[in-house]
Amino acid sequence: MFNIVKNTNKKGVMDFMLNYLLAIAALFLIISFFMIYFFVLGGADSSTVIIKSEEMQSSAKLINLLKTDMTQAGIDKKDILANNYLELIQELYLKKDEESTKEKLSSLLGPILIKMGQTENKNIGWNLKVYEKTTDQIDKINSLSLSARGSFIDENVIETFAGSEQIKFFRETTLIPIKDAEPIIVELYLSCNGCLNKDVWRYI
Amino acid sequence: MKPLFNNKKGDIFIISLVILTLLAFSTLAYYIQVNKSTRAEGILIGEQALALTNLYKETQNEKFYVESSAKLSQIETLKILSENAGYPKESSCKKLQKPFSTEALAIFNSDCPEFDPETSYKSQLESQLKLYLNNYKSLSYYKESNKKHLDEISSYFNNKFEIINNTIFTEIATNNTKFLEIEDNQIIKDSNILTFKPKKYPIEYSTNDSFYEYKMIISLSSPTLQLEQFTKLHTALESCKENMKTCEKTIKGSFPTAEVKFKSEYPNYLYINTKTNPEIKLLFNETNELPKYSAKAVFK
Repeated sequence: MFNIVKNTNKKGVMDFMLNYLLAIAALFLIISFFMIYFFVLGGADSSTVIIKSEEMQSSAKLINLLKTDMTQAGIDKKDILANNYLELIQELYLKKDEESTKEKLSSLLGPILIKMGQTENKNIGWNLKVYEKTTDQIDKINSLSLSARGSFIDENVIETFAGSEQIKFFRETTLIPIKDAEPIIVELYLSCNGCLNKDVWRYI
Repeated sequence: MKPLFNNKKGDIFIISLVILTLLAFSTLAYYIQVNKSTRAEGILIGEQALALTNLYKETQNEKFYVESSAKLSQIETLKILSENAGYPKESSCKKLQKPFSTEALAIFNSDCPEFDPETSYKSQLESQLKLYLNNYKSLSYYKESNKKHLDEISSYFNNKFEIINNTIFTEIATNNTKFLEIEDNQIIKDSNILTFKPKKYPIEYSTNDSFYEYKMIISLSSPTLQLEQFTKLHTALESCKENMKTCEKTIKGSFPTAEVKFKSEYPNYLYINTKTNPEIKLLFNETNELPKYSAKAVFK
């Protein structure tokens, strides 16, 4: 059985191979066991949550929108009611119960929301909501709202999709002062029906 | 047959190798397990960076609100000055109701305090701005999904928060605007610069020792042109007060669109509406002197 090696110390070879094989087998078993433990069973996986990029909040887009000069938005000079969108919202909010207010908001703010979306898809678009924050609760009372759906304007924002509350992508909020009244919240976000995070990044 | 372990050096090496390999992997596995359990209770990865970016967002929101409020306050201030003959609300002249106008009109005479439009403007602006600052409500929230961590930090907020779906909504930053104090209010060339005292903002709510100090500076358009209207009117009245009948011509020389009139029921009173920006409306009683300028007045 061990005549495969000629002119050698057969007993030494037998000892060596026995020890060698045993050791290699043991090493192989140890390494295999730990590889399975770390990579297959996920022993090294951390259950710690890493902050997602969506957690990072910003108001830059909204503040820039509110500071935008209305004359630069391609609106007829005779239709301009204020110097910028901040003043427009402040003025229209004081007249929020009037019938013409929604139409004015739609015609003056709608085009810029459509431009921000840059899509014909009516399931995707930027929404703007203006509301008061009650002192003790976070419940919102919609006072003014506008939704750009593709290239169309809707005077009601999309709140639900397929029966559940819609995800608000890139949500930004800021507080603006109102003359002789409590400050109001302006909220801007992208709605995208049935989208996942990876589908919306190009609209940022 | 020779004993199994005859080649001692080789045997020692190979056995040591196996044992050390086993020890190494076991130690590694142990430390990973220990770390996993402690990290799960500690800070989330990226939390400090998140706290900083959220703080930056908070200060930007606050600055935007203060800037917008300052602009509204400036408009309201000039309106108040025009309705009070160039004086702030708290220290205005005596007023006469009717018959010149449905609203009460200030009588611009020596009974009024010392005349200094710039100082009046600054004090009224600061009062108006304070009203808006007191109304500010922070939209900041602290999101925490680890229940144990939530309980630990809730006491830090002294129960001034709401927990909805493991998210803490806090108005901890609200106090920062309520206590924003104006350090300096200067009218320089084309601008009115408002400098606020530095304010500390906590970065990480779970610790008490990380703060960011921010000094807000707001720039408004200069009110010089508007304030000069008051001194122009004072100068015009100064030159015609000896002969009131010539006042209409004198005032219209300075304010071409002005409305100037007498009423028979009040023969000593002259009603003036400059019809400029701001629209200054007041009464002047010829039996009395004009208010004196303050020694510190810039606009004379």
